[in-house]
Amino acid sequence: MYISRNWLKDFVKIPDALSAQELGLKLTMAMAEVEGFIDQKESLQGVVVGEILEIKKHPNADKLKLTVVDIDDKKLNIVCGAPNIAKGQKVPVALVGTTLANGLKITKAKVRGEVSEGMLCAEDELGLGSDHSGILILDKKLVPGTSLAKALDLSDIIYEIDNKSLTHRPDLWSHYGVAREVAAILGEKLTDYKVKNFKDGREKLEIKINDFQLCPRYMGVVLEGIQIEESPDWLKRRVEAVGMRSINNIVDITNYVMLEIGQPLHAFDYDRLAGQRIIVRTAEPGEKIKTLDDETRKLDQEMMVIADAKQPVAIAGVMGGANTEIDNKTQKIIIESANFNHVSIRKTSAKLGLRTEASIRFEKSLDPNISELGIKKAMELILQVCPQAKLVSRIEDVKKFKLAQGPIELSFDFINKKIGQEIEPKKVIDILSSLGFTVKKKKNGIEVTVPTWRATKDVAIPEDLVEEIARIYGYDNLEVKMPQAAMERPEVNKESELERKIKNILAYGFDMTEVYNYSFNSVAQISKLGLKINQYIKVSNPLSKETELLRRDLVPNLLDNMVLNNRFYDDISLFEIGSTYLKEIKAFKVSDKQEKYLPLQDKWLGGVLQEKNNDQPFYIAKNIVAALLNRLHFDYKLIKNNQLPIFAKKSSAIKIMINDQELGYISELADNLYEKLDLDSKLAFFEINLTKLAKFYSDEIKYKQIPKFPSIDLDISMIIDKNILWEEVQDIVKQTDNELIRQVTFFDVYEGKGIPTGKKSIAFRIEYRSDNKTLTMQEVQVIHDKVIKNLEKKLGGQIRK
Amino acid sequence: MELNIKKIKEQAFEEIEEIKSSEEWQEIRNKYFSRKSGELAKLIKDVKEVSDDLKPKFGTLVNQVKEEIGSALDQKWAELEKDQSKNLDKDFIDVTLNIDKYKLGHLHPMTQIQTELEDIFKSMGFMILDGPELESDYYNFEALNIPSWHPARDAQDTFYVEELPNSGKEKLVLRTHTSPVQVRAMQKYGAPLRCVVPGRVFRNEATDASHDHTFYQLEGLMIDKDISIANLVAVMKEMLSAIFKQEVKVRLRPGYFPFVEPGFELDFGCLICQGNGCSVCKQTGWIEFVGSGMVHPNVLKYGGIDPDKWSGFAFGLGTTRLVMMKYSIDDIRLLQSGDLRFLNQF
Repeated sequence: MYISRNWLKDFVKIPDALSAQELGLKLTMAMAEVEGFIDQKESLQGVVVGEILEIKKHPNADKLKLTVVDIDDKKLNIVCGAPNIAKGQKVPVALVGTTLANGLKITKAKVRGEVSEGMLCAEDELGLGSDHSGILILDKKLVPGTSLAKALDLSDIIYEIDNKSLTHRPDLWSHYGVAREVAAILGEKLTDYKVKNFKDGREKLEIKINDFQLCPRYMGVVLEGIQIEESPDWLKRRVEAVGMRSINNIVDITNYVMLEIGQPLHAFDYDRLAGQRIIVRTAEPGEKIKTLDDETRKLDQEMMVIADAKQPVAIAGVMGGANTEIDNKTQKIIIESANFNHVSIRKTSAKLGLRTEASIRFEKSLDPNISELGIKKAMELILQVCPQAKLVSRIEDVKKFKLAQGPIELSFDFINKKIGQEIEPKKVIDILSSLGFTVKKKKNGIEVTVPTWRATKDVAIPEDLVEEIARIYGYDNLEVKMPQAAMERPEVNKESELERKIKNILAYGFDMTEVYNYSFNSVAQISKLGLKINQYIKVSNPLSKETELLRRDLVPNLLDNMVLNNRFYDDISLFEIGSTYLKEIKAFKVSDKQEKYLPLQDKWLGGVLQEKNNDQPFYIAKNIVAALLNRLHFDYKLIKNNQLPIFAKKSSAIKIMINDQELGYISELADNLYEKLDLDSKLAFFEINLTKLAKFYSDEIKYKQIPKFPSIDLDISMIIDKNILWEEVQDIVKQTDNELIRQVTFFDVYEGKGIPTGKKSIAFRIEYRSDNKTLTMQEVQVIHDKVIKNLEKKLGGQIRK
Repeated sequence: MELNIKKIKEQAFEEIEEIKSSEEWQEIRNKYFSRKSGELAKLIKDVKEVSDDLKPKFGTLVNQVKEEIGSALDQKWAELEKDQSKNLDKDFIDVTLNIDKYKLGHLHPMTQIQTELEDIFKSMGFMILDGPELESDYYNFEALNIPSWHPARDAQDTFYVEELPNSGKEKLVLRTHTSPVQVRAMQKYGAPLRCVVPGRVFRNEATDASHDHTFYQLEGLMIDKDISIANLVAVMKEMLSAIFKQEVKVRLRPGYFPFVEPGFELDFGCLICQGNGCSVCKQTGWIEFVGSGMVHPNVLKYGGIDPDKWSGFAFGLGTTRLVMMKYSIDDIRLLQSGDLRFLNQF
């Protein structure tokens, strides 16, 4: 929103010594964020009025012209491309060395071989409007050489205020509202907003409101003898200065009043209104309206409209209809000054995708009392601008509303405790009074009545008043103070601690790099992997195909990472820790009030890796998982597995068991996917449920005594069937003597030359050790022979000697 | 006497000649130069016993010999050093070559910053909490004093998901901020409470170099007796000074968030221009960084905490923004691209 400093000065004294910047800063610090300002004088420095003396064709360019422009003391040659210039016109000339409002720096230059000593400017280049269709043509009477700011009497400073920071302040969407704040901040007096009273006309205007909840107030008045024409300069300049386009005198007046006190108004062409009645109602099923912007809009039964005897003539509080729009032929008008329910306006505006200056204000919940100020101010201006106009009806006023003005009671102690500093009772009362609150002093505090313009929902509780006091007092004036709190140790978040450890081990122990992927999957991505779309939670309003589904596994996105990085790297090893979303399992409650649940959102650890010349990356993945779980002292087992996600290779799969619960898997990519995904190197991955893992995590380590007696290691090399698993071999060995056989370590497997087909040679070491004595070779040999016998018997193995 | 000196000198020279290692060298050096039992020390003792008129002569002689032996030792040491490098040519290696047997991976920059922040807050007695990313409308909006009609919802383009059987009629959203954890934490832990919630949040908007639909925030909450605006400023100042590892200036100005009252925007003094104005702070000398405020009594009530007994402050900051500021990253989308050319830099 734009605010004009000159306009503010209508209502409050602003010392000239207070610079544009200083006032902006004061507003930012106490009211709402000022995003910037334009000092018209400064931004037009170096721009003067010029008269076009000559126009010639540019010898080297069809669209360009050569002009000679008189700026009083000099005649300048200027190259110009605009279509609308003519000899004798007065135009704005930016002189060499000038920097325009849009940042353009004017230099002496050759344009296609012709010298140009300045630039003729369009409206937008000067920051005076948005028009770029041609050069701004000035009044003929202006004298060449005069500075443009002086010639146009532009001496204003325009502040831009961040709309977002005004979301909660219906009163600040107007100059009068901001002036009130300026008065409070500067300690100046705010001029009362005065409107004239009028003698009623005789005609009747029938107004009917169906639901006062939706429309608490509707005021209307009929004026005739209206002549629609261009607005006088002062009016034009004011509305244009704050970024609105001048349309005609009546529309400009309605906008002027809105900009001044925040009440949106609308003018209907009386003669085009069927039955000359106004009905405020919700739309009928199937009703449509063509709005002022020439769009035909479908209405629904929740949308509020202004209707005449036949049809809707406006979408209430949002935009007028084309059917009753005023135009050059209009002579008789109805001025509407109404108040609409903020929720209804916001919903309608959102549904139609139509936000207007009016709807932006109504959705903040305006004070119904300003409707009266608005209509009277508009009438005053209309009668001033169209002296022949005449009031022909009563000022009709249909209303039913009640505001929650309090009073709100609060103690000085409460105020001081919330702020953290003692503030003089007198200061408290002065601040609130300056903002329009009525304050009654009580024994230990105050009783505050909220002014109507703050009573629509903005100020309702004591805390709201604390804010008023503190911000005007000045946050900068508060002394900072550390809280006094008990020195309690924070509860440890086990999952987050574990997550941190895992990340460090994987990155700085196993050369893996951490990625962050989105929580989304696309339908295409999921179907490519052969997964079922209907298992996934669907986003109901995705902006792009990439955000259609919520992920159930980390692997699909990690696979995409592999595809991307394959273009630049041979060996890739990535991991991610992130949430997954499973709709079939209940987790957190949706609220403390109902037995409904959010989907399960466990965090998982996912890893994926490849090495260029290694076609068994599975073993690396397994190594990493085992070393990780070992380092973190989990009680884990890695067991051959058949139940796997569809994108995994069934024959190379392990399930990860922690405390006998299955918490994850290790596998390779299913064979059919390499081509589909355009991947070359063999790829392995693993996933572990981190949320569940954290439940078993403890950083306790129990030291085991270092063996007192030496061990004897014996190796075995045997030929067995190819598909016998190491796990089976290991089990048979261990079961032979659970006490003395301490470890069975695999060290080699071989297939091929010298080994019969369908067989493999496998070699491993057995560690024999006793806790009570030094074993003799003879003792060990007895057990070892038994091991060999068992292996031969159970596996049909053939020991290589 | 003279003969003795000569003998020792010759013996020393012979022995020095025979030295093969630094250990032997040390041994020989000790043999002659040890202050108590060294041969030279003995000679000096002997000199003291000769008659006064002979003292200067022998004294000079001993000193001369001492010097000679010393320089012979020095020379030997230099020879030994040379000898150690004798095999240079035979065992030549190209020391400018590299192998990459040992490599380290990389942690995501967000993880690194988040870890730093968590440590700061842990040191100040805050718990680290987390909450569901797919959240109910209730916790994301309603319980934060943002009813369905509230205009603040416009500012947060929200991802909604399909209706799910387990969730009944409740609308589910991808949380638009980490603030829902405020109420969940209050309900779980009650007051007093000190916690921070780092986490992933979502906005359903078109992406470009400075906007992504997924980014990270850190939410903080402190509830105790008589917590005031002055306390909030003090803690924020401490927090920002810890983040930037230097004393920072902060300023508070009005800001609007429905779940706090009063609400503030908290700026810190630009560290690049020291507040003089530069392109980073848009010439203002200040950088908007933390949204904060005193927890709204309605929110305390939703959290099951009595607003007459307890008060608190809450704050939120953009960790993604912090990461981008810290490393001068110019495209937010790189953070979730999985691109190693980016990640390997951290």
